[in-house]
Amino acid sequence: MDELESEAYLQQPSVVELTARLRQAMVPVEPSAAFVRSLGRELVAASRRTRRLSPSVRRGILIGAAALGSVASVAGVLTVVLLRRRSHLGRSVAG
Amino acid sequence: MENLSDSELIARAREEPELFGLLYERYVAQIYRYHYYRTGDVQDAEDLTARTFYRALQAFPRYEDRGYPFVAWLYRIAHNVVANMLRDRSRRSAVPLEAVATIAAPGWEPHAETERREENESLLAAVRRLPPERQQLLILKFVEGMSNAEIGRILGRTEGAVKSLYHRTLIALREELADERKGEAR
Repeated sequence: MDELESEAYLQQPSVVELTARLRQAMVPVEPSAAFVRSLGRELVAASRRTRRLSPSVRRGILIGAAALGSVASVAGVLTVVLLRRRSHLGRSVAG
Repeated sequence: MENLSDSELIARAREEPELFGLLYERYVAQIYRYHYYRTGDVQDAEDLTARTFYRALQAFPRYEDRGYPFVAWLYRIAHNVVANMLRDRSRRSAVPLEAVATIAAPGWEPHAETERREENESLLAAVRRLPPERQQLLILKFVEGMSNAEIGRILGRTEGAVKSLYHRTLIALREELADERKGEAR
């Protein structure tokens, strides 16, 4: 539909009537003030929780946990090695 | 803070997530109206508005300003949210959408208004049978009073394309109403 055709179409009485009906039926409605307030409060509370666990904080927690895990596993391996060595030494002395 | 542009407010809200509340205040009524005219029901409109803003809050850290208005991003989320709900509802029950989506006008209305209200309801039910993008176009044009250029920025189309889509929408709506009248006459 080209420009002229579409302008002519918009001037047709039945289309003018249809757009008038649309204008009458599709009026701006407003949400209730109570709903807007309550959802607003919930969203701000949720955004605070997001802030507490912002990406940098989450990254920090992850790195810290990974570091602790590594230290724990190294300590575990060392403990096992030391215990084995001690029991081996004990057996040698007894023999 | 209210005087900040959307881009400025978005930048601030990235540092202080509580400021998302100001973006919410700016657009809650617009998103509510979108859902109201897509579903025709106050409860659904409230539920879908809440879902839209919760999803927006979750996705906000990944939001990228690509030159479209912020509200265009919110409308995209709103579109997905309402599409999911309508799909779930159609799977769960065989109740026709028009029956679900009849606008519940609160309060008593004078008798003289009844006929006009019924006409409006049948027109809005016909609007709700149009494809989602055409519904959105009518909502932006008639409910929000936007120009074709403003609608184009939200839909990501040129002004000419919006004009053409508008004309095709009116033709489709007229046909929809004519089919309805034929159905009633039978």
